[in-house]
Amino acid sequence: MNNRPLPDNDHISRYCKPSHMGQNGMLLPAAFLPRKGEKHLSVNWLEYFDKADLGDAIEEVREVFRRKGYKVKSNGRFAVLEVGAAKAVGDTLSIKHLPSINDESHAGIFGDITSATATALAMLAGRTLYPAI
Amino acid sequence: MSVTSRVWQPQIENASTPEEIIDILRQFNLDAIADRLTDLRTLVEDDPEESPMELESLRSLAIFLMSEIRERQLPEPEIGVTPAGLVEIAWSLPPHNGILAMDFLLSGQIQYTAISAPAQYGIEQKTASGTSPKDEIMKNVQSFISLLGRSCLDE
Repeated sequence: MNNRPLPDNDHISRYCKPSHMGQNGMLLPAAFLPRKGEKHLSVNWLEYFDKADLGDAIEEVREVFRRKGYKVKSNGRFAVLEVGAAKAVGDTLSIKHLPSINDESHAGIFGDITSATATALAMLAGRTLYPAI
Repeated sequence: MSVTSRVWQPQIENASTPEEIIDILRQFNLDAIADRLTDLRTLVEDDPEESPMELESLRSLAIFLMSEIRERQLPEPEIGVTPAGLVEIAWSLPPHNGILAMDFLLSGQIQYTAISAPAQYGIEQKTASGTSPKDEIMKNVQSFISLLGRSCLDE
């Protein structure tokens, strides 16, 4: 269902471009800053895939990106966050399911994403990174 | 060339292209950072979703690198670019992977956020954030910089 809030114990992943990763692999806050005009940060809801572990769900996300024709870079990463922990970073944050035709697991992080919020999200997500390819 | 004489400062201030600024960093033996900045420029220029690296942000970073990081012998930071084209640097703070991040604004000011450690480690989480001129920022983040393991601020 569109716009359904995701359960706090579930997980989301965000693709982090190489320009949003440090040269030694540190996840930078830039990965969680919206582009100009962007109303939410795009993420994927991992429990949607009903897999036994997060690594298997990330493989499904890779397949979604391939299907969409979204080119990921070998030194990019998928960062994983628990929904409840991510929401706790900022009072205004919410995370909702936003399925699209070619990406049923698509979701969004909504709210006031400041530089401080992005830094806190990067600190949390930096502990669980998966290769993009 | 002596770094302490700050011969680099007018060179950076008068540079008119990103390449000139990166070359100046190279002249002062910041080769790894120069290489990283060159790579980043290529990455964002090849990505239609991203904004090019802003010249004034790069200039502000270069002055900060030379005057603060190099002269105080801080560890080299991780470097990236925000979606708005601002250069961003960050350090992971020991012992529990806190973070200190700075974005170099077009105004010449620096927007910073520091978080000492994730809350679940059972120790008090210290945070700081704001926007400061270069000359004031090290004072504002002193307690976090000290976690990098060097007494760089003892002048």
